[in-house]
Amino acid sequence: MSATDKTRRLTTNAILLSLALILAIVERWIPLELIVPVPGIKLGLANIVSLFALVRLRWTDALAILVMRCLIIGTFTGLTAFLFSITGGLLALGIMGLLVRWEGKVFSLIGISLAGAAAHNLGQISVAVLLLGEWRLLVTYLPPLLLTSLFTGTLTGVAAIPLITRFPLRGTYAAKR
Amino acid sequence: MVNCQEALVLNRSHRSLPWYRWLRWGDYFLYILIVLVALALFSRGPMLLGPSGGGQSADITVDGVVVKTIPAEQLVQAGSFELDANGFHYTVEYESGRIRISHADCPDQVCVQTGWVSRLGQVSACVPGHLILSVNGSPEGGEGASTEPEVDVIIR
Repeated sequence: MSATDKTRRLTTNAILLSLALILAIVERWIPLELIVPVPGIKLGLANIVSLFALVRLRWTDALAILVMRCLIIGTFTGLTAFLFSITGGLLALGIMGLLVRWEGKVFSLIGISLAGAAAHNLGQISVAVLLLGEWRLLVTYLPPLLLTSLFTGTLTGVAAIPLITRFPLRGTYAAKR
Repeated sequence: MVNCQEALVLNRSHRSLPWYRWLRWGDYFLYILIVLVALALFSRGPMLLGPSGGGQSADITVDGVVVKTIPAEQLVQAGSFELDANGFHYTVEYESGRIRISHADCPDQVCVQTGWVSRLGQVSACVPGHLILSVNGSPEGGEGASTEPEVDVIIR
């Protein structure tokens, strides 16, 4: 990777990280739990950035953006919330990184975002299970979260597609692979 | 990792279509899979915990220790109590076999949002306070009951 590419990579990731942070903050303004009373519900807007980084950049970029986002937001929200978001985020990224190989053939970005949303919920509840040592949390909290992830996952997927489609490939370092 | 040029070509064809036409067969599979997992957990989850037997009792657990048990005969009546756990203050209400954390001063309020729990194996949990409110089979209910008999003695 040339020096120009390295700089491009750094700036692209920095811009995406700030975008992810903005989305994560905006998401906290939306009182979604008042409309849909499901405990632990999140819109998952920052997942759009992860999806973008996975498809257009490299998985290492997506990972770096995710970890930095969780760390920065985590300093404001506290340790428990950080553990929820980092575990959910890593699991979501892992699943999406796996499924993105078949993007366009088997899955569309909507399906990949959907799987990411469901994986995020699973990771989130798994942390609660480990912290409290009570596996029955899965029975109470996971089904409603999974059902809402059908809507939030579809929403972020539909939002991500125009963004990813409009972003030019030529000129980004990833296109030179 | 997807071939980026190929993805771009595929995505361009998306523009003129409504969003649901972007879906591929794998997406439908995922939708169905998630619904099935959610339904299976919801309907079959309590069965994994053993037979419900007679009445259901409720347990309050703090840091893995049962601090209070509401026996089945008391749970069907209305009542409430308050307790403290790890620096947080909770108000618990119960009536006609269901129970909830009605007020809590914990930061995330997940336990309050959980609302009423009444089915066997359902829990309402507060992660910051390490508090779990769970619905269990009563000791008379059979071998599936998870309530320790000696705890009942303390309460009575």
